[in-house]
Amino acid sequence: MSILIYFIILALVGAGLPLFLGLGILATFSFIQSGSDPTTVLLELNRLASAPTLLAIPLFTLAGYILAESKAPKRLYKLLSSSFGRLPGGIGLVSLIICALFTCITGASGITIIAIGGLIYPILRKQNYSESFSLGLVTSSGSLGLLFPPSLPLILYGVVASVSINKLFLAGILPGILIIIALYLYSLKQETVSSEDSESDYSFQRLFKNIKTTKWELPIPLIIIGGIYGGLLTVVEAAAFTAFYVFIIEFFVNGDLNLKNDFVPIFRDTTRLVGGILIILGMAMGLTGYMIDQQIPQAILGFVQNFVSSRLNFLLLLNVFLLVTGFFLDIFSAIIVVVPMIVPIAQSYGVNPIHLGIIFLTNLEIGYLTPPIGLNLFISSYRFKKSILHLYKVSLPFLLILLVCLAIITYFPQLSLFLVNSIY
Amino acid sequence: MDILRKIQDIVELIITGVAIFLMATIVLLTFLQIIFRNFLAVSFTQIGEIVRSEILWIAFVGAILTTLQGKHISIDVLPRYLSGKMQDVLKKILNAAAAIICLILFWYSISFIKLEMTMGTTTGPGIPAWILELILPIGFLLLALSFVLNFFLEKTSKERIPGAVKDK
Repeated sequence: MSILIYFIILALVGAGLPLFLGLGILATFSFIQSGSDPTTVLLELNRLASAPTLLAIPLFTLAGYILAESKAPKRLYKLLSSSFGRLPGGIGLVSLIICALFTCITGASGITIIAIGGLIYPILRKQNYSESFSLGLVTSSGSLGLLFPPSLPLILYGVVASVSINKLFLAGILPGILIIIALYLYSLKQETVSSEDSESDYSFQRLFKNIKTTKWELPIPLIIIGGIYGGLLTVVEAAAFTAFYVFIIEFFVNGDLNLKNDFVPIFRDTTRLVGGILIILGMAMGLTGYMIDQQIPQAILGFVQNFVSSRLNFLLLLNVFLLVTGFFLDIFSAIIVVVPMIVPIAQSYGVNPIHLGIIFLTNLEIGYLTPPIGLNLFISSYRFKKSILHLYKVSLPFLLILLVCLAIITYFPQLSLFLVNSIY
Repeated sequence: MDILRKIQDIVELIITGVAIFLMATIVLLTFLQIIFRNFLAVSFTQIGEIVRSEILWIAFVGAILTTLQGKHISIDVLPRYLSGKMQDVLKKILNAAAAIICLILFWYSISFIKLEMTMGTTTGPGIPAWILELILPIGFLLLALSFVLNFFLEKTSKERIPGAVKDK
């Protein structure tokens, strides 16, 4: 009987039942099944209210939404192209940096492709980059900034794995730069006819003018990084400060947005996005509680240890496992559901949980691009009105480059841990 | 159907209002805390506790908004292989199942609240904890209602990308 009920629940989940309800009913039923009180599920859900760093998620997301909706991306693009535009492949580099910046503040929610991709794609085409390269770059850039602070998945991983978010922020920086450099090198290989306007665009006067137009946005990274590592602000406070600051400058100082048209959609959609993730987290905590109660992670660990002897083999297996996970779960659910199981196992193989987080996110970043159901492929296909098969094709070279980067990030822990160790 | 649609609109309107209130207070109160602590050397740990409990409210309010727009995160492998008509049937089944699950969880949240009332814990400046936790039963009840509304009204596939504010 109970097997039948489990089967029905899993079938419903596979058929598209909202994930949070699947997790909730699975946890409830499991507690009943084992003779415990299912009220525990609610007790665990209620713990959302006592996790101090969680507040950073809605606050940073709000700041990201406001910035993405304002004209800041355009101004920033101008600034970057007047500073790097003259380098070989400069516009490619600028595009990569802009996408990374906006993905990291908007939490890889598809906004980068919709809003920023729409800005960058025509510019790349104007620079005579091929259609397939431009489309591939814009599509793969939708998840490019995941490793940079204050990305939402980084914070979420920190909360779920109980790892210091300050350290995670530092750990992601070098691997993130590695990925950008790798993609930049690839863009250098593209044949383009350099058009004149990028040349004439470059002058100190223009650079100076562009710095002036972005003077309100430029301090934002300083507020976040300086505030947190200068010991002035906690992560949550830095997030609140950023949200407040961005709200004031984009609504009142720059006047890009107005209260009448933009206020309600931005605040509503931020709540919708964040709430949709938090409720999954809350429900998963119930299921995790049950699993820990039943010592299931230990059982999985014992099972894995029978087959996997060395750390390297474990990491390889982990990569494959996470790539497959990326087919089924979006990045937030994957972190919430899989991390509590993986962390103890990884630790028994001597993998540092901070390094594990970076491996985890890089893997899932690649999952966004992996056929058949990588989310970015669908968003891009929708945004640029191209067939999904075409997108599989154009994003393939980017996928391969990212896989190479993943291997480097996985097998050279120092890349992730160097900054952390030198500061802490 | 018209009356149901009206109910849906009203729920959406109210919930949107609550969402904005929650977001705005989280930003403002946390910001004020920074100012007070750094410049006036006064710390309001009690306010901090209330703000933190708003996270639970955000989770439910966001989930209700997501339900009303029919864009929950899910593993929808199966529907890709079904015909349009079968997909509609599946949607009905899923909405019904979702509503039932929400009612089950509503039931248990009532007993959770009762438990908390007997425990008598308080949050922040002496507010009984169970008052802030009332969002659990209220949230599940409203979620159940939203899924029932979806069952009857199921939006004509308004194509929206999850997380995107709007198409530009």
